[in-house]
Amino acid sequence: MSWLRFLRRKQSDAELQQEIELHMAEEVAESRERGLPEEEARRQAYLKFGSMSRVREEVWRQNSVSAVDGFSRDIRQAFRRLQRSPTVVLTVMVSLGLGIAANVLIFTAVNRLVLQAPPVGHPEALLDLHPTFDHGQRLGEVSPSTYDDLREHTKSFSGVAAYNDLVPAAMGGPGDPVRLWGQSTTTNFFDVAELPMALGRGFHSDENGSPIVVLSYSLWRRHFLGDAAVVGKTVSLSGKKFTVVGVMTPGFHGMNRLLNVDFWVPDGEWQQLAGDVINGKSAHDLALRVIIARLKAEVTSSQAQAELDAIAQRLRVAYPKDYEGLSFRIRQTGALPPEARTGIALFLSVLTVVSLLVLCIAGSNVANLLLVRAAARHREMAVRTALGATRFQLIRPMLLESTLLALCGGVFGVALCMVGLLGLTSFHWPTPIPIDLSLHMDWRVVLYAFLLSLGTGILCGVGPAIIGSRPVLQNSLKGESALTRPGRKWTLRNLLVVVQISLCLVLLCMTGLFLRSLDKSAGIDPGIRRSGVLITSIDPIHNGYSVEQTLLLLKRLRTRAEELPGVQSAAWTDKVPLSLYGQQREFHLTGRKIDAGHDLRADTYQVSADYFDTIGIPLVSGRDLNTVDPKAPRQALVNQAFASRFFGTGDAIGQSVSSEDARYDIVGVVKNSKSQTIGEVDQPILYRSLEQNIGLAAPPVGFSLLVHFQGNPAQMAAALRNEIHSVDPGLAVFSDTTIEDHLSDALLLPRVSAAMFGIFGVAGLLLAAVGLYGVMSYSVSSRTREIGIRLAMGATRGGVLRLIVRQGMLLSGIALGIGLPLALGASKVASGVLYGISSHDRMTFTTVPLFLAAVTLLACWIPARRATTVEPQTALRHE
Amino acid sequence: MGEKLEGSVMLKGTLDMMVLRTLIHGDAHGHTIAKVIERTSEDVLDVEQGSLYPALHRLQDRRWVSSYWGVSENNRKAKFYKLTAVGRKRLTIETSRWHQMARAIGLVMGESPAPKGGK
Repeated sequence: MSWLRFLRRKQSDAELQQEIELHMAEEVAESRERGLPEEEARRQAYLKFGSMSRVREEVWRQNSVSAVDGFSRDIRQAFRRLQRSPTVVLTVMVSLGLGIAANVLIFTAVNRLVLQAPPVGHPEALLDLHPTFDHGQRLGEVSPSTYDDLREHTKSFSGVAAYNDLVPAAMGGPGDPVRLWGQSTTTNFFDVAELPMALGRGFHSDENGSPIVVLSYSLWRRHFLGDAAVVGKTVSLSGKKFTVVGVMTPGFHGMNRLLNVDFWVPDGEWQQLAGDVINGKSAHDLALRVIIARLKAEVTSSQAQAELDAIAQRLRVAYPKDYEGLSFRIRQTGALPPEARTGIALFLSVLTVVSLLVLCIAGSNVANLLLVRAAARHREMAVRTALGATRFQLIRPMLLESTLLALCGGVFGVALCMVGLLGLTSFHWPTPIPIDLSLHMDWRVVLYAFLLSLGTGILCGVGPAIIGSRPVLQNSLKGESALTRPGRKWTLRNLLVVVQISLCLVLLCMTGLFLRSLDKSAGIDPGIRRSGVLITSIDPIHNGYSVEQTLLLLKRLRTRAEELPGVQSAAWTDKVPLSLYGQQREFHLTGRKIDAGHDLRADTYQVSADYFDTIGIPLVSGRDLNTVDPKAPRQALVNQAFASRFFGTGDAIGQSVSSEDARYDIVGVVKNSKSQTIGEVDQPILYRSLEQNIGLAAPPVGFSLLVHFQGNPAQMAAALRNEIHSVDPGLAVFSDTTIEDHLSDALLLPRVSAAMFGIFGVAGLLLAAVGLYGVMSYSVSSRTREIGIRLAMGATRGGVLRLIVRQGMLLSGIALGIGLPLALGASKVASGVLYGISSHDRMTFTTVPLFLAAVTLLACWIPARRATTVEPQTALRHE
Repeated sequence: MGEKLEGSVMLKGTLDMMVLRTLIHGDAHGHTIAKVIERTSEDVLDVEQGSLYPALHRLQDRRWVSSYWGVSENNRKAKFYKLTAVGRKRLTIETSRWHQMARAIGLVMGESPAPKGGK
């Protein structure tokens, strides 16, 4: 109602005017009837009526919502003022924009990893159900029959479904076949998860054994170019024909937020894809790894937990052998796996703190700038106060101005962040499984950016606004600055400088630490060749090859590769070192009993002959696997770490070790090399023969051909691809890369953190230096008169210069004193993410404060010098 | 009571009440309302005519009166005000309250020593 009136104010005013006119006309007419002359009648009417404009004003006010009115007027004024000073707007936009961009970027990651749920229906009611053993310490698996039991007999859930870990497959189609990762699911998976389909349908309950497939949205766009007629077509997955029945909703690529799943097949088809080669376990044992359950609306998760506890109890009693120590753990689907959570949380919180530091520094710059602007308006403020403006009326426009500025900064920051995201997305992870860490903006991120800018604007603006709205009237009338109070030494400006410098110290120390850590880890010797090796991977087993065929294929390809011009040697491995994962096994001395305390966990590699020559790991003693007979006893080489941990100073050669499935005679010892990450302590490694062990376990990531060569890597990669496709055009060739690229990918984490901190640190330093310079030059320029007097009274220029610099340096001294302990504390927190240096790295903590002191000295000295070169006469006349 | 009361001395809200009272005889435009108040109060309450309009506006906001455009007795286009049902109810309340108050004031003015001194 009142809003309607507010919007109709103009019309209502016009009507009122009409009414008044009528009133006057009637009044005049009446007086004329009584015989008064026209002129007098009019005069009387006006007298009787009173002030017309007052009436109109009163009605207008009645129609207005005064807060809104004042607000919109203030906004218009703020816009006008900002239009007049584009440099200020630009400065604030850039400095706040940098700070906000940093924060938004980090928040995008937080949003992606912590806040976003997978696009399932009602994500809060969808639970992961993990069987655990040993009092929840170890994740385990349950048999399919137990899964059926859970599905049929639990009362807390309206639906229970399951999916397995990743299955690799080569998808044929237009162009070269591509290697993809998929999951097999129970047929009710999409229904329980309430996942909508972009096209087609999910699985029907009677289709467990049907060769059908659901594609991910991104695969559909990428590989099928968004062909709407794809449903019903057949695609080839690892050589078998599957019919496409549906395309998944955009944005869903598996329940695990870090993986990138591209297709789903019914559970019964898992064997078709996984192949039958794996000895021992049947394929179905390996499948159905993760159970999801949809909670009934009226059941709480603690009730569900209680029911599961009872079931676990029953199973423990019924099958003591299989299910000893079994219990069930539930947690909301799509939450980060607890193993990864602490690391990710630490990394993200360190980054968040750092980016907030940058924003603080930028914010104090802006606060300073606003303070100067408030000072420049002191006379206006004094006049307005004298005219009766309230405190709030003075503060409001200034706060609005700073908020507007900050919002401009926010817009710039979001734009900057988008550019940054493009850069981040292009990082390549060295893992063989598809990790999805793509970051996108969504409404949460934009809301965060908006709130952050709003908060920054208010925080930056509130101090200057309060100070600016308290002019000392007498001073102002005398034409002196109305904002400097006599006898006050610690101004807000000084405080801001101290805050800035100390925060900058913290930031730069962190940057220093991360740069040193990057330097250290780049300097770590990985123990393998750093150049001249090409890596090409294929996965024949998941392409339908049998073990024997695979062996023949690998042998044939290796021979062909060795015959290529420029190739010195070539070898196969099931795992390229420094791929961020490992396959560990327990080993014990053959003949001795298994003893959990003394057994050794070691990374195992399956390698072909010439592996050590090719990758450049020197043989210390013994011999290579060159002349291994597939039928002979299994042979292995170990690295020095393995040898010394197992045999101490004794000779490893000739000894034999056993793991649960096989026994190995050690025929040689090689030098240590890094296995999983570049920062690790040397791990024990056992290399066993590919030919002898291929039947034990098919590597999920295929086999990689390493080629030591001389010449152009691109030509070599193309030649290798040709060779492979000339043998079998249906094989998907993946991850062809040079060892240089692979090593630099392995340095990704230290590199990303160093890059982030480098950018943040430099930005922080620039902002702080500019801020300090600005403050010093402003305070010097406002003391020009004082300097003039000092000079006129006989002070030397040097003396004045020293005075000003000393005052500036006092501030930075205090700031360094505050900042250093803070920096030491912060680095302790960050030490979890640092490689190869102590958190109290002496070099960082001496260089950075000195460097910062030098920068502040310069920032004081330049304006001080300029001020002292002024002629005393000019200075005295300076207002 | 020969002097005229000035508008500003008038009790707050009385103008509203008088306007409502005037409209009970039928719809009227601003000028008529002013004239009626002036005349019926025997020219004692010489309201500054302008202040009538904000009051009318206020009454309309509270939906005690409604308005429409019509033609005045002298054939001029004029805005007429009409008492609404709510306004009518309001007027009854205000009138009775006024009577109570007038009685109270009368009592106080007439018998002021009574409660203090007893008899």
